[in-house]
Amino acid sequence: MSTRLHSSGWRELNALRVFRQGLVVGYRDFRDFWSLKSWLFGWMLRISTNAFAWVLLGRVVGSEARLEYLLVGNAIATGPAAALWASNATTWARYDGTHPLLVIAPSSLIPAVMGRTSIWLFNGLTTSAATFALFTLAFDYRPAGGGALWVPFVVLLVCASTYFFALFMGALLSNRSRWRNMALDIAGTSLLAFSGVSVPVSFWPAWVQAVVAVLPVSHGLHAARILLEGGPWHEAWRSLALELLVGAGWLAVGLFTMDRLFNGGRADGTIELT
Amino acid sequence: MASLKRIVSGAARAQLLITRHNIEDLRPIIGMPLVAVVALGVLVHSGKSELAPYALVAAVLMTIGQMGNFVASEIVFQDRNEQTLELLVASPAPYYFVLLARVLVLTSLGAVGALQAWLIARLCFWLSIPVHHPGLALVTLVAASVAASGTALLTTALFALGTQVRTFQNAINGPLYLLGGVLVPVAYLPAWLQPVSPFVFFYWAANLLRAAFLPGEPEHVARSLAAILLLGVATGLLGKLVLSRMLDHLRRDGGLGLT
Repeated sequence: MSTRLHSSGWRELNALRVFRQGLVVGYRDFRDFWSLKSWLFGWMLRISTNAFAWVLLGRVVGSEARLEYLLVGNAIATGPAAALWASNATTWARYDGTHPLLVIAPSSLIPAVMGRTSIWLFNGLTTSAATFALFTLAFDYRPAGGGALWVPFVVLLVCASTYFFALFMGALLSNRSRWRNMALDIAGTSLLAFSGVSVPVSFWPAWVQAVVAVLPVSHGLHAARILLEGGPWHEAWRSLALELLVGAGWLAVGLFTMDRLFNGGRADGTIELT
Repeated sequence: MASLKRIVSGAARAQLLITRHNIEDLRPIIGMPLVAVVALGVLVHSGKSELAPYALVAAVLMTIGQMGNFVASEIVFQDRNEQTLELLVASPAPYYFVLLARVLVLTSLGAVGALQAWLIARLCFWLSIPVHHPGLALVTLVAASVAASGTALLTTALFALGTQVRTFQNAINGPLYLLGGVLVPVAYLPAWLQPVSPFVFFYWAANLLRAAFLPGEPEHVARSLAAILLLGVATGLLGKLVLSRMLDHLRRDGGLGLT
């Protein structure tokens, strides 16, 4: 038994089990917020009507091309916007009083946190898919490109990289949880304002473009647009690779920040109930 | 009458003090005007800078709406949680008027969104958007704040009743903004949705505010203002009914008590 305990294979298996248990807690969190009925008629109604107004703005400016741009951007953006909720969920363990217990548990805290919060990543994916389906019917949208079949995977990637960014945000906010909702509002609106959802990234000043380039969403969204419009595959691959790189970067930064914070908390006594 | 004035002004002052120290209360005021950045971006990028007022109207009405639906609507729920409801109900001052004053303070703060959105247009997009009828804009903002207060009086009573209505809180704003033509005028909505719009105060407020940015003489001003106020008063009175029934219920069942 003791040899098994120290083997790395056992540790991986253990992390996976912890993640799975975390996911169960995450699912309970989710069900605290939404039942199927309230998700459909509360959450989806709000998200889709909001996005619908932005798409209609294309009609106001009198261009079908703009409408299509807004449709694709806003349908996909509902996903990362929902996935960003994970930053909020990261701070919940503080309120539940489970944070100190997780810190003293022999298993790493990270799979537990990721398990619990990743439910919002799946919510993002489902939200985006449902909004896309709704808009396809409402605006009779037909993508020109054969690459459209790959778009769900792109949306998954965009939601995942946003989720990794949310982990970093959540880690930063875990000792300042008073600000968590405000931070979520501002980060969500700004991320979607400048990432090519409603207006191309190139419209904004160079320094904004530089910031957007290292944030999630913009590269993946660009790839999705190319696939839907039937643009060159190599360009789509390039953008996808960049989104993957950005996502991996934020995962690394997020894990590092979490680790630092938890170890720092052990040292300075901030592992406490908030 | 003098005592009512004292109650209202005291409650309003108390709310300002609470809000000053509560980041959550200020969320819509800081966050919502960012909507103006996106809307102005779309309009300017499409070469439609002349439609920039649409973005300002959307930003300010959404800020007022969020202050009503997400901040003011929480008052009764919070009073219950913090057990100030018991003290307020036991005091001789009518709770409804205390609530009315507090709700009005919050929705009026939402009107600050107009200034922020205007500054965003000026500083981020170098757009100078002239307000051709500043008086109309001001009166409409006041009327919209009153109407948002009416809605909030109803929702704050409802939200305190149970968790199920939270779904309603989350759901309500998106459809109200869409139907009210806050960002996109109602004429662009599907025809079957348009008949519902006049029942939403945002519809009248958005039309008047957009008209305030046009050089021509605004039309149907009195009718629109009356409609906004009427919808506000109607929802406010309905809120009074729900609130008094809720308090009666709590008194009868022994649901009030300090622990």
